[in-house]
Amino acid sequence: MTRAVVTVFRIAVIAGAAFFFAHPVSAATNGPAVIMQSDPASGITAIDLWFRAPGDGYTGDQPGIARLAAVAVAATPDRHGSSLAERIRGMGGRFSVSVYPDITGVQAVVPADDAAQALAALRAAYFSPVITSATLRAARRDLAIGVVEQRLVPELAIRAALTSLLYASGPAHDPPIPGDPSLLTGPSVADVTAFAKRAFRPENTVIAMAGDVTATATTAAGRIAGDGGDAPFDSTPAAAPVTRTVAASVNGIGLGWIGPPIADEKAATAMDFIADTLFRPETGVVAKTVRRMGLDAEVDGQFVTTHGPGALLVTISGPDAEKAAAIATKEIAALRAPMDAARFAPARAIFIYHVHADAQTPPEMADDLGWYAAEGAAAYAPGLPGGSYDRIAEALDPATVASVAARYLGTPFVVHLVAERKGGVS
Amino acid sequence: MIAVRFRVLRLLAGVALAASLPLGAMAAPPASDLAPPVITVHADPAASLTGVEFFIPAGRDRQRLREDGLAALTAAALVRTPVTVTVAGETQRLPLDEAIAAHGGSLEETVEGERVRLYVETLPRAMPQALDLLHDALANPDFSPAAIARARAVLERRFERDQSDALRIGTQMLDRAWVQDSGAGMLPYGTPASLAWLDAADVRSFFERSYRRAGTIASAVGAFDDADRAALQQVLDALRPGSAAPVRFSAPTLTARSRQLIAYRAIGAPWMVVRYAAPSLRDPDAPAMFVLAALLQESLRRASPLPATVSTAIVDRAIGTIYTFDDRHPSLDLFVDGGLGEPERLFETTLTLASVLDRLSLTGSLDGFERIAAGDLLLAGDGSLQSQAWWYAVLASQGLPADERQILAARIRTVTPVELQRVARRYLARPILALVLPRNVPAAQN
Repeated sequence: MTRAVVTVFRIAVIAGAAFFFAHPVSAATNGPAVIMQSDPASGITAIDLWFRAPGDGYTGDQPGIARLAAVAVAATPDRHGSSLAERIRGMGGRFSVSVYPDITGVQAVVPADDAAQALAALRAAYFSPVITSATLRAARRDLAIGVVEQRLVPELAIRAALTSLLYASGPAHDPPIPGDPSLLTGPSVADVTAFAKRAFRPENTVIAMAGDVTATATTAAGRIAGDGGDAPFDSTPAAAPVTRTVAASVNGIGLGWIGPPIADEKAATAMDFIADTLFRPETGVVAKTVRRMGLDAEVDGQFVTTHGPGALLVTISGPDAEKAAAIATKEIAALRAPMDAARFAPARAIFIYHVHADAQTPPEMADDLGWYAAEGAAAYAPGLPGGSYDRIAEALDPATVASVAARYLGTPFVVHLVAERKGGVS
Repeated sequence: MIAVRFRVLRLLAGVALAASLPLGAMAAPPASDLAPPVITVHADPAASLTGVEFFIPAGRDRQRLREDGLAALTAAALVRTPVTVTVAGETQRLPLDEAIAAHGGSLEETVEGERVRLYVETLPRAMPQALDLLHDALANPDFSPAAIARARAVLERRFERDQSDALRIGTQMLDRAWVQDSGAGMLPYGTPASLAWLDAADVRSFFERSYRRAGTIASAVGAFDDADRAALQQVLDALRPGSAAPVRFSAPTLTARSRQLIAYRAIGAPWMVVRYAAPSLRDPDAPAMFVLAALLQESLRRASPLPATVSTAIVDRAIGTIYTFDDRHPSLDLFVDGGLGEPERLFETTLTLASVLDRLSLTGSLDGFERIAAGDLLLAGDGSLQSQAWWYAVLASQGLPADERQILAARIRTVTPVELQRVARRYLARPILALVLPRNVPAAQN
C-alpha cells in the first residue's frame, strides 16, 4: 500500500500521549488532534474520529451507553432531514461505529472527492451532538443486533467472558456491548446526550485520515490542537488467574493473560509477535497443528494493546476445543525458552509481513492511527512509516520474546463457555 | 495490535466479501487465448508491500464434462509443491505457499470460470525470491498421488464450508445454469465424489494443456522494481509456450421466460438469488447498469422489513447486488436473505421491482443513485494491494486503460433516466431464480 507522505499536523491532545511528528501546526485551541497518512493513488479516503470514553459510562453503570451515543448521533437528521449515516451512504460511502471498553471510534470511507464534505459532516454531528427519542430507539435496535451477535458468534462471546475475568474493575470488566438485552432499556435521552456531549467534544477527539487526503487536509487543519481531553480510562487487572465455567449460547474456551501497557512498546510488540506466531488463523503454529492432527476447532488469538495493561486473548471453539486448548497451552509454555534461530527468523518475517498486510488499506490505516493515538502512543501505530513499531519488530530476537513470555504468560485465566439447553446448563 | 474488528470481519468473510465487493469481485476476465503474455506495472517505491497478480487462462472452462474440480485440484496441488528454500542459513523443502510465507509474504490461489488467479504479496525485499520459488514450482510441479491426496483434502474442506453459505450455494447453482456449454459454470471445487475420480495423471494432463504463456496476464503493484521484473519474466518463461485449444462459448439460451432452481441445505432461513444478463465493462451500457444495480439495491433495502440501522454491516450481508462485469457472461445478481422477515413478500417485492423498472415513470434526479454507484465502484476492495492488482489485470484483459475506473465513475454520474430504462428493458427481462431453502422445511412454507 502506498504510504508516500505522512503528515501529522499536531496530535498533542490527549494527556499521557507520547507524541511525535511536528508538522504544520495551527495555533487554535480546544480542537481535535489530527493525524493523516496520504496515499493519493487510492482514490478513497478513510476518516476516523476516536474518542476516549468508557463503554459503560463515566460511572460504570450504564452498559452500552457509548455505542448508543455514537449510533444515535449518526442517526439524527440534520436540518435538511438526512442523518449523518444517510449522507455518508449517499456519497457512495460506508459508515461504521466501533466501541471498545475505553475508546470509541466512528469511521466514514468515501470517494476522495467527497472527503472534505464527509469530514465536515462528521465534525458537525459529533461535536454538537443531538439525540432524540427516535434516534435513541434506532440506536437501541442497532445495539440489539450487536447483543445477538455477541451471544451467537463464539469468538465474541468468549472474548466478552474472558475480559470480564481478566479485569477486576474498570471499563474492561464489562463488555462495551452488554450481554443482557434487558439492559437496553437503560439510559434515557438525557443520559445519552450528556454522555455524548462529554465524550465527543473536540478536545477529546483524534481525527485520523488515510488514503487520498489531499482534498481534506486544509479543512482538517482549520482547527487543531489544544489540551483538555480526558485521561485514559484504564482497567485494573484481576489479582490472580482463575478458571470459570459460564453458561452461554455457544460452547467455547477462552485463555487469557494480562500483558504490558502500550508504554512498554518492546514488550507489547513481543506479545503481538507471540499472538501472530501461535494464534493467527491459517498461519499460526496452533492452527496448523490443529489442522495437521485433524481436529475440528477454530483457534484465534491476539494481544489487545491498550494504555493500561493489555491482554492476550485466545478464543477456541468447535468440538475439539479442549484438545486445541491443550496445544495452545503447550506452545505458550515452550516460548518461555528462546526459539532457535532457524525457527525464529521466518516467524519474525511472517509477523512483519502481517503487520503491513493488516494495515494496507485506508480504512485499516486510519483505524491503526486513531487507535494508537487514543491509547496514548500515536508514533507506535503498526505500519506507520518511520514509526517505532517497525523498528522494534525488525529488532525482535528470541531472548526478548522468551523473557516477555516468561514475565507475562504464566498460568492463564480460563473461561469455559457452556451452551445452555432446556432444563439447565448441559 | 487492535485487530479485534478485523478478525470479526474475517469470521463473516464468506458473505461479507460478496457484499463489500459488489462490483465484480466474484468473476473472471476474458483473456484472448492467442494473446501473448501481458505485464502491467503500477509501481510505488514508497509502498511497504509488493504484489503480483497472475491471470492464467486455466480456469474451469478448460475442464471437460467429467472433470468437475480438476482446475481447482491442479491449482491446489501446484501451490503446495515442495520447493527448496534457505531460511536462517538452513536449507529446507517446504510447500510453495509456506516457503513464500517464510520470507514474509503470502500466496493465494483462486480458480474461476475462465482463469486461475495466483496472487503473490511480500515485503519488498522478498519478492524476487518468492517469484523464483513460484518459477521452480511451475517448472517442476509435484503432482504425485500423495500430493493430489493432500490437495483433494483441502478442496473437500472448502466444499464443506460452502454448504452452509446460502449465497454461495445460490450463485453456484446459477453459474451452472448460466454457462451451459463449457465447464466454466461447474462448482468451484467440484464435489467430494467428482474429486475422488480425479488422479495424478488427470492433474498432470490438465496442467500441461492449460498452464500456457499465451493469454496470461501479470499485474504488478506496490514497491515493484527491476529485480522483481526480471524474476517475473522468469515465471512467465516457466509456462509452456502457446495456448490451450480455444474454448468456445455462447450466450445461454433460456427456453422459458424464467427458470427457478431450488436447493435444500442446513441453513436457518430461505435465500433468493436472481440473475439477469448484464453488459460487459467495455459496453456503453455498463455505466447505466452500475446505476441500475445501486437503484435496485437501495430500493430493496428500503422495502425490506429490517428496521433502518446506522451500521449497515447486517444489511450488506442480507440484501445486495453483485454485478459481474469481467467475464464472457456478464451478469447482475440480486440476493435477499429471507431471514430478514416475511420472505415471501420480500422475494415478491424484489422480482416485481426488477420486472417493472423499465415501465415505471422515473421522475426527478438519479443523482443519489449515481453517487452511490460511483462510490461503490471506487470503494470496491477498499484499496488493498490485491484489489489494485486485480483491477489493473481486469482492465488489461479487456484492453481498457488503467484509469478506466475513474473514467467509468465519471460516466456513471451522467446516466439519464431514459438511458437507465433502456438498459433495464434490455437486460432485466429474463431472470434465472435460485432459491436456497432450509432442509426439512416444505417449500410451500417458504
